[in-house]
This record gives sequence, C-alpha cells and structure tokens, in this order.
Amino acid sequence: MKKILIVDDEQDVEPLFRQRFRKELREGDFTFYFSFSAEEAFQFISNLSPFDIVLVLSDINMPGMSGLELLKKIKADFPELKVMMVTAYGDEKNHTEAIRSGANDFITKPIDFNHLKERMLKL
Amino acid sequence: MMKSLRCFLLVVVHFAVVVAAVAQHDHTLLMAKVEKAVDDTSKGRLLQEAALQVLDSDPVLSADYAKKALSHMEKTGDPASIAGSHSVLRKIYLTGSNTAMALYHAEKMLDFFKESGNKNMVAKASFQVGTIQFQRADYSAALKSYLESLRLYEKLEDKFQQGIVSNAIGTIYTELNDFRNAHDFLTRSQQLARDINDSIGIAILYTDLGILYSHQQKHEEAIASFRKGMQMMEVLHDTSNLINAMNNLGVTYKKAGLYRQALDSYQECYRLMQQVYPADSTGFAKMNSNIGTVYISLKDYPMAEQYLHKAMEFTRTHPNVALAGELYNAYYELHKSKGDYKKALEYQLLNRAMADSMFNLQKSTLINELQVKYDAEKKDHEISKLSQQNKIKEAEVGKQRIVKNAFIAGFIMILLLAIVMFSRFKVKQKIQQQLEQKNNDLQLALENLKAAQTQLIQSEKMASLGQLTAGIAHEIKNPLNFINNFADISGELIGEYSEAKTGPEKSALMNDLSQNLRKISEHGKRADSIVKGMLSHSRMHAAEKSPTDINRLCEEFFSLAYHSMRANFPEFNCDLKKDLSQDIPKIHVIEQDISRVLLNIVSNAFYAVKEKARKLNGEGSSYKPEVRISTGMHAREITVSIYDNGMGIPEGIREKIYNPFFTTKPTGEGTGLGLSLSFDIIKAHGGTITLESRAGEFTIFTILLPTGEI
Repeated sequence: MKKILIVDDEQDVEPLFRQRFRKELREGDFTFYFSFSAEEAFQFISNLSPFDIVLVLSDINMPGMSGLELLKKIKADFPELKVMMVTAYGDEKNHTEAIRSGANDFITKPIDFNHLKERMLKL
Repeated sequence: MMKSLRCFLLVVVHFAVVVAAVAQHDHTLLMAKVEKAVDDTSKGRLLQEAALQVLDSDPVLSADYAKKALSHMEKTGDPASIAGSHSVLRKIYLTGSNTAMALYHAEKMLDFFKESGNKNMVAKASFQVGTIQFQRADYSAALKSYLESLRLYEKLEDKFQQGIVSNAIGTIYTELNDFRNAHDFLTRSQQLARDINDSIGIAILYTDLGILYSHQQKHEEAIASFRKGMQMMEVLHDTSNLINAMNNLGVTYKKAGLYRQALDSYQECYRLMQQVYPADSTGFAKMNSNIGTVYISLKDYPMAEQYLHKAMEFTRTHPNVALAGELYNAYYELHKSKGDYKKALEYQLLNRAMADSMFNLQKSTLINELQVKYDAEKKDHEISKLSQQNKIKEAEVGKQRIVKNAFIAGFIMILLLAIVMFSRFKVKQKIQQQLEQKNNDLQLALENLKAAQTQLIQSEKMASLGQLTAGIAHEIKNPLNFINNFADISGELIGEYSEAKTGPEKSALMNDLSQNLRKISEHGKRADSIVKGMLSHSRMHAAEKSPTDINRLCEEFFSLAYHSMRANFPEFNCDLKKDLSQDIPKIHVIEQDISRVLLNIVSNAFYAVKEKARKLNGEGSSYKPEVRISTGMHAREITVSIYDNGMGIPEGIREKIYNPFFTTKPTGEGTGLGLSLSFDIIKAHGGTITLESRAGEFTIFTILLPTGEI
C-alpha cells in the first residue's frame, strides 16, 4: 500500500482526491494524508518514524512556507522521499526552479487525474 | 596686513565723507547763486549744474532741479537752451532707469535738432532715442530710429558712427532672430571698424557676432569668435568688454553642454569683475546664479546650492524680480535633478508667481509712466499758460483777448486730455489684449495638462492591470481545477449510481453527487468574482458611487494582490492575516477607485516584505514576512489598516511618497503614480490616508473613510 501525502491550502482537494481515487482507495492501493500548509506537512513527515510515506504531492503557492521551500527541506532531510509538484503556475520559471530543487515531477492545474495516475505509478 | 587694510578703509571712509561735504557745500553755494541770478538763462544753467551735481547722491532732487531748469529755459524761449535742459533730464532719467521719461526728453531733443537742421545732432539724437527704445524692448521702434541715424551718418560719411549704429542694428536683429540681417549688419560694422583701424570696435564685433552664432546654435563658431575678440581685448587692456565676452562665452559653453569650460569662463569673469567692478553687487549676484546653474548641470549639488544661495541672499536685500525668477527656476532644476519633486514644485510655483507679479509690475509701471507723462505735460502746459498770462498783463491787452486765450487754453487742455485719455485707452486695450492672450495661453496649458493627466492615469491603470492579469490568469486555474474534476467525477458517479444495488450504497453516491454540485457552484462563483475584479479594475467610466462592502473589497484585493505577487515572484511567500470587523456598514464609494487604492497599498506591502526577505536572504535570518489587513470603526469613520513588517519607509522620503512619479522601485517596476492616485482618490471621498513606519521594521497605512452617517 502506497502512502501519499497531499499538501495544498485548498481544503477541497481532500474530497476531490478521495472521489477521484475512490476505486484505488476501496481496493487499498493507496492511502492519502492531507496537510493544508507546508509547515504542517513537514511536521507530519518529520514525525513519521519509521518513515513510510513514499510520495508527497505538493502545491507551490501557499500562504506561509511555499511548496518550493517544502521541497527543498524534504530533499535536504529525506532525500529518498519522492516529491511531485502540482501548481496553477505552470510557467518555465516555476518548472525549472522545482526541478532544480529536486522535484521528481511537475504537473499543472487543472489536474488531469488520468495523467496524474500514470505519473504516480511511474515514480 | 590687517592693520594696513584698516588704515586704508579709514582713509576711504574719510575721503568719502570729505567728498560728500564738498558736494554739499558746492550745492548750497550754487542754490544761493540761483537765488541771486537775475535772468532765467542763468537760473536755468545754475539749476542744471546743481542737478548734475546731486545726480549720484539724490536722483529725486536732481530731477526736481532739472525740471525747474527746464521751466526757466522755456521762459527764455531759446530752443537751444530748452534742448539742453531736455538733454540733462534724459540723462537723469536714464540713470534712474526711468526709460519712459528718458525717452520723452530724448524725443524732445530730437525734435529740436530736426527743427534746427543740424544733421549730425539729429543722427546722434536718433541713435539715443533708438537706444532707449531698445532698452524698453520696443525693437521695431528702435530699429526705425537706428536706421534713420544710420542713413544720416552715411550722408555725413562718418564711418566711426556708422559702425556703431550698424552694430546696434545687428544686435537688434539678433534679438529678433533675424539672423541673415543680423549677420549683414554686424559684418558691415566690423568692416567699417577695420577701415578706420578701430581695434576696440573690431574686438567688440567679435563678441556680437559670437552672440549671433550662439543664437543660431552654431556653438563652435560662436566660441571661436568670442576667443578672437577676447585675444584682442587682452592686448588692448579692455577689461570691461573682456568681461562681457567672457560671460557670453560661458553662456555658449553651457548651451553646448561643455559645463567644465562654462565654469572656467564664469569664474574667470568673476575674477575680472572683482578687479574692475568691485562694487557691482548685482553683477556678482548674476554671476553666482550662472555658476550655480552650471554646477546643477555638473550634478554637483552642494556647490550649486552654495552659489545659488549667495545670489538669493542678494535678492533678499536688493529686490530684483528678473534675477529672483531666474533663481527660482534654478532651484526648481536643482531639486528636480536631486529627485526632490516636492521642493521642485514649490520653486516652480514661486517662479510662476514671480512671472505673474512681473507681468503685474510691467502693467503698473506702464500705467505709472503714463500718469507721470500726463502730469508732466499738464505742468508744461500750466507753465506756458502762466507765462502767457504774464505777457498779456504786461502788454495790457484787452479782456476779450484774455477770454479768447483762456478759451484756446481750455480747448488745448481738453484736446490734450482727450489725447492722453485716448492713449491711455489704447494702452488699456493693449493690456486687455495681453491679458486675454495670457488667459488663452493658460487655458491651453491647462487643457494640455489635463490631457496629459488623463493619459498618465490611463497608463497607471494599464500598468496595474498588466501586473494583475498574470496573477488572475493563474488564479482562475484553481477554481477551474475543482469545477472540471468535480464535474467529471459526478458523471462517473451517476454511472455508478445506476449500477448500485443497495440502498446505503445509493445514498452514499447521492451524497457525494450533491456535495460535488455544491463545490462546482462554489468554485464557479469564485472564478466569477476573480474575473469581475479584473473587469472592475479596467473599467474606465461609470464612476458612480454605490453602497459597497469594504470588507469584501479588502478580501478580494488582498488575495488578488497576493496572487499577482506570487505569479511574478514564485519564491515569494508571506503570512497573510485578515482581521475584518463585522460591525462596519456599507458605505457609498466608487468601488473601482477604492479597489485601486487597496490594491496599490497592499501590493506595496507585499513588495516591501519581499524586498526585505531578499535582502536578508542568505544571512541566515529568521525573518517571517507578514502582511495584515484589518478593518474597524473609529468615530464615524471606517478604518482600513494595512500592516507589513517589511523595509519600512525612511523618514526622509515619507513626505515624498504621495508625489507623482516618486517611486523607490527600480525603473520599469513602478510608475510612481500608485500612491499619488490613491491619495487623490481617498481625498475625493472625503477621507484621509495616514502613515506610520519605522525604517527597516514596519509600515502601517491607515485609510479613514467617512460613513456618511450623522
């Protein structure tokens, strides 16, 4: 079972992901955790011991700590943890910044969930 | 050294006292002689002598004596003596810069010489009349007089005088920007000077030709011409003309953008003036002003200020409207170059006021001159009437003739009055026309300004709109993400519903469906409000006041500004805090205007924290950017406070931040109009903006808006 942490300041991502992945959830392929800020997410990851999250899906633009900062912190402390950035700001600058900071993948909103699933399985 | 200087001063003071005493003594003696003198001719001569003697010390008394002399001479009826009196009066009024009266007497002299048929004197008097007209900037009249004078000197074959008159004519054409004629007359004048080996004349002509070239923007030729003349003047030890050339050389260097050379010329000029005219304080003040303006061009502001200050000090003790106007203009340029727009504006206003007062001064001088002229003519007339009456008595002519003479006198009086009234009317008419012209000019300038302002406001709108569009385009993707996906899922859920077998399964699906529909509608509305915000921002017209929920505006534009910042600077992040009071009523405002103010101030707050974060970046600082917006009620006013813990606003620039075009942002990032417009908008709503800040720590902008309730 893959444990995935989703980080976004928009609370509606939770029903969205739960419904989109309802089959996978029902069949127990994935478990989702939700954090509504980067700070909360990092706390959550740091407290998990032994470490068993395999993937973090993070928004970039959030009040307070941004997704890119979270990415850098994760890559510094937990280099093996995979991180995928999800953002409405799909410009070149954001993209290169994310990849340079160690993001394993980068997708833009609105999210195409079929595409997302493919990418998640590849990682 | 010190002692000898003091001795010298003492001697000078003593000498001055002695001279004054001698003059006083002579003058008393003369007056006694006037008393004793029997005939009008001697009285007139003695009074003229007295007038010239007191000219320097008491110009008013001098004019008084000369006028008395004139009336004595008039009694003698000798035209030559009368002309002599007019000549003295012309000189006295010229010394006092009363050009109107000087012109009156010069013309009287000219009339006399024309009458007597002395061509040489007519030529000379015409030239004198022309020179006064030139001083009064009445160029066409001056040109006419000079040409008359030149024509006579040509007949008389007096080359020296022809040269001088041609020079004067050339100078007028230069002033009138008629460069072809100016060049003709000036070169002709120089040729005449060459013909008679008049070295000084040749040298002066180089200066005048230089001025002409400078007017024509032929800077190189001008400089070469000045230099040629100056070389000759140095050889001839003609320092006064050298100073004039040197000053004009400085002016030309400055025009040509050669500021260092201009400075050198002015300073050399200043040094020479100290040698030759140590008492010409007006000249020194003008030179200080010249040097100051060159330092502005050199961007050496402390030096510029030092020199301008000296000149300004002089105008405080010696009111000089033209110089003060020049100085205000120089200060305006100085502060503008320094970026101190508020002070620049102040000086521009002073300069404008000065120009207005100069115009008024000219107007009142004109009226005064007319008044004086009228009085003089009336007096002249009374005097002649009295002497006429005396003669009548002596001759014991009959009563009838007295009546007839009185009638003629009265008639002349009326005629004279009519003429004077008519000329006054003409002048009034002219002033009226000038006023109208000025009014039209001002109206036009105002319209141009208004057009420019509209254009600027438009460009500010477009700039902030552009800044927002990026944010909005991305921001709209967030609600779109939910709408698209929830709609998709709902389609799938309906399919699952029709296949569902159990009741609880069906009701769970139904629950999800209705939740999704609610989410779709919610996010649709969100997208709508984002687009509305953009539209209301770009809308140019329909500036109507409507009841507005300030809290809603704060929320919308707080988030818009934030997202626009994020769009432009992905690295940017910040703690956002909202503390919106639920007790505030809706108020009547122009929504898009108030939105613009909020957007401007909030954007500035984000910018300030972003800059501070960037500066502290890499210093391992624990700085946490924070921007807070809060609303509340204060007395009968709504307050909106925007706090940021960013760079703060240094004390020195706090007064300037509302100035148009003042910006601390790098070129291209800010128009410098945001806060200026905000200030105007809030003022137009009867509100105020206040600022509290500590450099490097925080800034709070507080907007107060009246609720309109009593």
